Amino acid sequence: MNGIAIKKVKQKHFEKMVPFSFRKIGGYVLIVNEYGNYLFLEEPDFKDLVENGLPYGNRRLMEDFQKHNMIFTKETRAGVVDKALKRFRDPAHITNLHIIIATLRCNLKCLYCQANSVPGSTHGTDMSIETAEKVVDTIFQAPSEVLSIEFQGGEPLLNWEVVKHIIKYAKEVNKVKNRSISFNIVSNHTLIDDEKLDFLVENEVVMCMSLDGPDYVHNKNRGDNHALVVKNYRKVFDRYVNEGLERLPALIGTVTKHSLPYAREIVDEYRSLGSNSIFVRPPTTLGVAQKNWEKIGITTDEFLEFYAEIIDYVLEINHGGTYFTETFAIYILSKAIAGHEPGYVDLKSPCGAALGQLAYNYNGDVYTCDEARMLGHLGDDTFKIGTCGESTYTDLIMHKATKAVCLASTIESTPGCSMCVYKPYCGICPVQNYHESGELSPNVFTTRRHKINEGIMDILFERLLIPENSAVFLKWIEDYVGKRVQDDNAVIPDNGSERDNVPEEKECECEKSN
Amino acid sequence: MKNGGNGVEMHFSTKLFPAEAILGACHKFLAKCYVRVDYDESDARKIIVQLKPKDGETIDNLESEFRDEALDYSVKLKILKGTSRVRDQIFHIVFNPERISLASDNLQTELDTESRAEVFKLNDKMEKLLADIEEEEESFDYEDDPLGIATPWEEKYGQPDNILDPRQQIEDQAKKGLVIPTLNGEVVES
Repeated sequence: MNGIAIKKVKQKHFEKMVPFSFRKIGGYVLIVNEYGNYLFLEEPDFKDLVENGLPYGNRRLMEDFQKHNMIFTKETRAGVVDKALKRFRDPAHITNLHIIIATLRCNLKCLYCQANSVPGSTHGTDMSIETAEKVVDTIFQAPSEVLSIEFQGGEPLLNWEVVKHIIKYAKEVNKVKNRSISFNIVSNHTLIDDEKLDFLVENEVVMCMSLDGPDYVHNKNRGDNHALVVKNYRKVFDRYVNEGLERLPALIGTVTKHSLPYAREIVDEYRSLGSNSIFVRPPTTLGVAQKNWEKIGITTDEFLEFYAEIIDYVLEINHGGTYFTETFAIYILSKAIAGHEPGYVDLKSPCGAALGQLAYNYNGDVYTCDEARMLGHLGDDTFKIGTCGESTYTDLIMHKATKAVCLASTIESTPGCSMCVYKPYCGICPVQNYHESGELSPNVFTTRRHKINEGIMDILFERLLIPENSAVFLKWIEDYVGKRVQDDNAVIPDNGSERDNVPEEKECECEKSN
Repeated sequence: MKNGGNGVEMHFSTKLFPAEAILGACHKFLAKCYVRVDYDESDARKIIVQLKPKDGETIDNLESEFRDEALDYSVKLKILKGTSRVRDQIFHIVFNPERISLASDNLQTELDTESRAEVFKLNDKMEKLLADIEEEEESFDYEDDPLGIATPWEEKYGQPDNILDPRQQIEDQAKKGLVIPTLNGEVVES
């Protein structure tokens, strides 16, 4: 920060303040306290704060500091503690997300497949009924009242009998265990038929489907199946709507080199299918994506430019009166604006590995997370923490790899992250870091994820400075959190107790592999 | 500052810039530079930093960017230290919720119009509480699981009254006509 006389900056200037960090954004200084409240200051005000301490003579600014929980007073105490509780006591809700690889087989051959799927005719990579039951028995050992079972692959529908059996068996077991249980299936949807659809509807299975955009983008990444996928999506979507199901099928895409020129067209494709959101994510280098990186790979700068284009177009759509959201932005902004913890495992500290999710391979092997399982398919079982039927839940959680991943993904103790302004909103992926650098805790400034997350947050906070945009973001967050929040990103009027009524929500990892 | 060849050399006085701040900035610049850090043998309060761009990186603005980063780190460190008491108080409450009422009676958080050191002096009872917490933290064993995070559901909440093998459950329920046999066929048959 230019222009600050370091000689004048004293520790005592901050003694009444909630711990915070800062970053220059769009001509202002963004300050964020450790628990996620943010405030934009004009540069002279920030300079005055650090050089001279709290501006007691400036009533407006002092009210802002109080309203945004930047000072620790009688009035802000409950709000700050509530925020901190949300942030640090969340690990008590473990382990919620359970990813099952019903098969490693897939009928498609996507260029960016992280899961290293094998051809549909391959033998020996399907989960058996016996293993499936052991997996479910392990899942029910987790001390979470909410259990979300997600089918990944490969293409889960290729091992349909086991998928069905897991759902039925889990529901039967749950008659005794009495948890809140839900099912997601991540599928390419090329194999859906009436019998499968009936079963999925009957069991209220949430469906996530891959769509990378119009045919001239999608087919380059995923083979010539755009028409079939769109047809099936429409059929599934209409059926879910007609049945009155609460959670409708979701679309999810991956950004590759082929996507870059078509940001608007990709959004329009989603809109044409009735979707009111898009989830923009870059490819990782796991699985066959690494081999095909020259064909599909993008730099962090290219991704950020694309992301900015998507966000600006989505905002333009909203300004025109049509509601349409971007999911990654919602995860970040719900933390900043509403103090809501979305539970999205990529943006947690420690990360979601083992505490938030477990991944069960087709053979019953258990990994700390889906990325760890994908690494396992590349022959590296560093993050394998047990086997269903042999390992107890305690064994899995107390495994050295689990502890190592938790330590390596704790932002508060990570050099480079611990003083970052975006610390309350961000997350580290030690498995991805290990895959890219060979180190569990590399210098974060060298990692792709750091550059992408920091860049995305810069883009979002820059847009937040514009009142019309912040009104749109606020509407998204109101809908997402399911209740009104104040537009001042401060505490809810009753000191946060209203937030206690918001159910814990854990986002699925929908479509990391397909 | 010296510019030589394809690198830059800068000197920082620890009277102005804490050594941790310089090291923090160096850590960030490791992503794009080779970094050498030393101190001046004739004046140990002077830190010498040499930066040499890695392949593909440019020397342009390297010095001014590093100085900005060192300044940011220095301010952030002072904020970190200055707010440490408030952080301790918040953590104390967050991780000891049963003590919230006691803590809220004793926390000194009034926003005074003047800064007085004694305002921040916690009372004896509160000091003792914090000392207890620190002692607990020191005895915390990384290999233990004091929060019971790894404790399975059954151990934590007990066995349900009517627990049976799931297959037995289904069979019993099927006999009573409580489940649809076609829906549970495979489970019952297995």
